[in-house]
Amino acid sequence: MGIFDKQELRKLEGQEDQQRKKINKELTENVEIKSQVSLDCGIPVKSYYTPLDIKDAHVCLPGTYPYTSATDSLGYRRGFWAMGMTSGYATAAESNQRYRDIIEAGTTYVNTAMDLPTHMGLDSDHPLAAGEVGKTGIPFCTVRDMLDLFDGVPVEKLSILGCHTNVIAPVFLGMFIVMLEEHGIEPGSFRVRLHNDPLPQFVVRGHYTIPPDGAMRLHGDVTEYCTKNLPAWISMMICGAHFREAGSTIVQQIAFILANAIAYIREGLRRGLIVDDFMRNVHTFMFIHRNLFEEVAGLRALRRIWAKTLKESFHASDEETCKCKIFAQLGGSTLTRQQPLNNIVRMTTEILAAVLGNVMNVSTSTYDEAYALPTTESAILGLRAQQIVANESGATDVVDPLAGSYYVEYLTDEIEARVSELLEKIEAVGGAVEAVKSGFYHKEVAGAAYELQKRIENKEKIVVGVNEYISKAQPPPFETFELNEKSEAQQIERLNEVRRKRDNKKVHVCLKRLREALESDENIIPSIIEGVRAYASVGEIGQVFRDIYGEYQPYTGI
Amino acid sequence: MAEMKRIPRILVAKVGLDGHDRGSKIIARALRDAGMDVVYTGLRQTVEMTANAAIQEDVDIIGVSILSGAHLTLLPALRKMLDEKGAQNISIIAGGIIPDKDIPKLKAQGVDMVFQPGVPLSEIVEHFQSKQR
Repeated sequence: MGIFDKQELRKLEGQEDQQRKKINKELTENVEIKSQVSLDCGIPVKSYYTPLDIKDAHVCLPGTYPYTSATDSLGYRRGFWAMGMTSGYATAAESNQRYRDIIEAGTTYVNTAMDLPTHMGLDSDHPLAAGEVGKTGIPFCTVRDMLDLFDGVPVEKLSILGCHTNVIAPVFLGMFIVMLEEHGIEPGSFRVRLHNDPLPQFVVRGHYTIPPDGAMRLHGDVTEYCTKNLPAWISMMICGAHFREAGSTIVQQIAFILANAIAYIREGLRRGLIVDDFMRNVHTFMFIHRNLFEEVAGLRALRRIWAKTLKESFHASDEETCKCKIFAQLGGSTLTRQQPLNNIVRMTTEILAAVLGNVMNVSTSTYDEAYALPTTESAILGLRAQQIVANESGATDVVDPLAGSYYVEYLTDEIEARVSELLEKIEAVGGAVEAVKSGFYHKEVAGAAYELQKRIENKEKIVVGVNEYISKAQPPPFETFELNEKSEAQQIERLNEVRRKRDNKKVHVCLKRLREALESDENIIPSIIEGVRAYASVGEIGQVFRDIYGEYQPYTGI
Repeated sequence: MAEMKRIPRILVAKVGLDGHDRGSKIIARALRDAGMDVVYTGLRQTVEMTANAAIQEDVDIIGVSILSGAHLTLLPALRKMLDEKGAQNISIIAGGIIPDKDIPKLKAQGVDMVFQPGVPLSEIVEHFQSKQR
């Protein structure tokens, strides 16, 4: 049926016919005009769009199912998106000042970055941790580190406190509870967001320790515990983001979010949970890349498919469950080493894309992304860029201002169609967990990454300063962040001090309890919380996981 | 019998805990498409595992990818272990997030070449081809 008048459409068809003939003639005569343009995700795009391209379109008012435009008809008038960034390095004590600085500058969202050993359930003095401690984030060996990090930090000024922990999420659940209690905040009432999304980590980014089946069990225990005991918490954030950074297309990014969400929903239902109870509060995570229109259309398509999936496949009855709450981070892989100040421009257009796409939370990657961790200056510039887009660009006055654009509506529909197709393929393979185990996901990502690289190498895709408009290499015109060389030794000393001062008998008992819970069907979270309170370490707890479930052997296909 | 020219053999290695394998997989594919023999050992390889694999596979070059900042620990350790095992002829080329100021330190400790982000694939492939034993 659609919203356009049939007669007008027929008139347009006639005009369009003539126009196409003119264009084709010009393209034949002028070979330098680009006749074929397509997006990174493969969708070919024409030089203009008309109502004929969306003739069956229906209008979806913002705030109405399936929420294509937005989950809320007042949009940013209620308040801007939560603005912030990932932060942390070296040690908790050193990062403490950075947290104070960015919150004072107006950050309302912080993602606590952890270092690689922590992500994998290894203590800072584990042999595999040598050289890795504090490099990508903060080493959290025990709850002491969490308390040191937030010592004197005004946590109550944040609207969301996040941590991108996956397999080790149970431990962080415990650590955040203890820290919030220390700050006089009732833990269940504060919005803590755990990732608790282990499936992508077996494919991209690599923050795994135990194999998928064990990781799914831990995921389910966290979800169940949060649903029953921590009502304000966001018990999972389902990521397409890491796939995108590994080279996948926006279509894959969205499809993998949905497929993984479906796997988690099935696990929750298997445990007897009600979909509206455990899925109404979850978030999704999208990385924003360079083509503004592709990003906006993708965000709209994600909201639409999420709503339809939750309602039609899983019979969600609470509209909150059907509203896809999207967290967006700027694509670090889009920020170049060459001519790094160009990245400030990229950051701005990417923030604009996220905002035009109505996300609820933005995290900025910074102009020095390809050099080192952010400095305080680059972190705050990222925040200012968000504040400028919010207050000066006009993008926040109107919900989904690109709604009705023939191009954007066409792209939204086309992305949705391609996502649905890929979702069917994943289902045919056996669903997301099978797609991880069989290498299906890995092949999808590696294939897309290689194709994208070829487009850059043959200049089908221009990256300013990298394959075009190249200038002589120079040192960056700004200070880059330097890590304190002594921080690894300092961290190990701190860890040893905690080990000496804690009640080691109690830790031993807690770890024994955890092992018993893990070997049965019992939810492990209560015993994890006990262990965390007793200063059991991430490595000790991680080792119990590995003792029961073994170590994941990574896929080696290219 | 016609002289058989040795096809360059490369080990592409993700050493340490860093799980970002996009670059290493793309380079592995590009080297393979350029006719080289490529072995990719997957994530989370220790220095010892990498040295052993390189020797067992009789490679000419190890291409190591590290984006975590652990390069100053891991790369010199790899060079040392290869030399201790008698594999002085296997050269190391590194890529990832490696600051300018660390490159001379790495070269002084036996890393042949460092590629930073954004270098064209063709340049990388050419360099690997030129290093053939």
